[in-house]
Amino acid sequence: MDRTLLALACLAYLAAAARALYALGQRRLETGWTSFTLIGLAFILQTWGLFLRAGQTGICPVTNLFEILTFISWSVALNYLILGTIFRVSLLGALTAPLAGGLALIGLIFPGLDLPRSMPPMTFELEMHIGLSLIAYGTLGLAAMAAVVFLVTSRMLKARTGPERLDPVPPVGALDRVCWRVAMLGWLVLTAGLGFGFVVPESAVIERVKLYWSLLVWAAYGFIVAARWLSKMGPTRFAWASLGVFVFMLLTFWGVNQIGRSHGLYLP
Amino acid sequence: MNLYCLGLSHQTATVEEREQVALNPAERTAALARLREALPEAEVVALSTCNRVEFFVAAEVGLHPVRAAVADALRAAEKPVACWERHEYIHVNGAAVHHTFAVAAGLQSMVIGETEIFGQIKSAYEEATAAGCCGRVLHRLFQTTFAAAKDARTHSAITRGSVSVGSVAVELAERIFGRLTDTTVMILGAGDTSERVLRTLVARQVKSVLVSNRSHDRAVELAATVGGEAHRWEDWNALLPEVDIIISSTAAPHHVLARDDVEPCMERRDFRPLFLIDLAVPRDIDPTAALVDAVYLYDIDDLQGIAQANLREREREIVRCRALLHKHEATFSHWFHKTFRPVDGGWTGPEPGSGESWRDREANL
Repeated sequence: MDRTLLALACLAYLAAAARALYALGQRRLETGWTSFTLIGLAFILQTWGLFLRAGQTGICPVTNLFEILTFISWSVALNYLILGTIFRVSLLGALTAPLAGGLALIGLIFPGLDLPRSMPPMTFELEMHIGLSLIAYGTLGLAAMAAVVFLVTSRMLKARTGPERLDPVPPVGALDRVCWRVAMLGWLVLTAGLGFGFVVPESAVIERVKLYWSLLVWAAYGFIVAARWLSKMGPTRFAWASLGVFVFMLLTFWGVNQIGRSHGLYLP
Repeated sequence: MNLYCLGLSHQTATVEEREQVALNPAERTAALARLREALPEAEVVALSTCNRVEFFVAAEVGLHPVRAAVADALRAAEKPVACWERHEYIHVNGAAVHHTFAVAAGLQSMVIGETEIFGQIKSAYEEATAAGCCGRVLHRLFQTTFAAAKDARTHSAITRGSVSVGSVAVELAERIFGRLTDTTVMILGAGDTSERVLRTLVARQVKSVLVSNRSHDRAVELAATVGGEAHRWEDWNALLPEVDIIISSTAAPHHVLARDDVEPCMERRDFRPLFLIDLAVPRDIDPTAALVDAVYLYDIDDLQGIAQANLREREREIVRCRALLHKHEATFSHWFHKTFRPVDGGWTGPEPGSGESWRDREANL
């Protein structure tokens, strides 16, 4: 039942993504209620599916890579539903659907990612640590997507292509602000998530490699966010850096989890 | 009943000739009255823009009396009738409808797809209606014309993309900043093109305009006309961090804005985008300034290149536009045939390319 709900959610995201792509092909942004409704529907289905999973295990549904990917996908949609409304940037909808749909799809098409794993009961701090960290990764993913759009738009403007080719995207100045604000928000949530990690009771297992990796990611984001805030870094470098750190995170996340578990590199 | 369109345009007459026969509003009203005197039962609309002067007439008479009445109206307005007759074109019935639709859709304009002509035709029609010169036929013709032109504009890319340097610059500025109401524009030097670009930007209600010129008096003069502030030439560099758009068109033989001027100011302006428009030849702005993050530099060739590419794009849309207009022509033609019977050489007139013209047929009408 839970997997069916999550699969339906994935389909709704992919439908919204297809609609956004079609709209882009027509040189306009998918800004209407259809996109918002499809993503909202997918979000509700995903929440329901994750809730059922949590009910089965009694803990936050982040026990294997499938659940983690689904949770990140859910947090991307959550970000859109909140940030898209606050910043009034319809572009976020066009970015959210493929990102959330893609993450959910990867989890669904590899059954090996959804192997049941027994986990010790989680404390409140540990659940907050995991939940907030994954929400932060979703937000940072959205920032990375916005960075890609910024880089493409800025490149087209620098290459002096006609302005009509940029019809579907917001002004480059607005894109820069969205990239920075979303990355800043992601970093703040990550800070809170990692903060909870430090107050996790001693009985919980803390993986050393994962700790160092998390601190590295946090420091990298902290550095670029601060550099941009202090005007020591231009928007293009910031966009590349935001994208680079997120890609690094994506490429190493699974590996770090594996090393941590297989080699038992735990803090003494 | 016949429909006539008699006129001259940028396609048949030079600007000097067009300005000789152009009619101001008072002259248009007088011409309408004169035409009604000559052809009491006729319906008449007179259009006069900088690119065309046209009379639309619906009457139960042949072409000859209509031509004579138009010539008489022009003579009464002290316009050179010989010049008019030398450059005049005549469209009758189907061809007149075809022409009216094409003009309203901007297909016959100097700048293909421009929309100003639509408003001008609308005003001419309203003027004629107010003067009691429009009846059943012209009401129907112009209402269908407006619907056809709107359809063509909506369902084709005929109006897409800017086709003048000024409007390309504004469109780019909007791609960079969004609404321009929070932007500050600075103009360096005061050439004709730069002034036009500045005025187009000012029309978008930019926050403020700074003007700097080697001749301070000229800067003060220009600033006064656009509601800006004049600054001495020696001071403009210090204003860079405040400025979002720079239009430069000085006569300097060297770069007046170097990359080294731009780079440090970007940090002071929190890397907000900076749009540089270099309209000078030789160029005023070091091309390597474009390599600085958040700086977007366009020179006159870039802007003209975009405008020309857009114009070519519009030209390619003409065929699609004509197909859209054709549907409305058919509707009008159907109504016309159901209601009236053309009194002269049929609805369609001479075949295009047949070598025959309405002038040739005139003798028979």
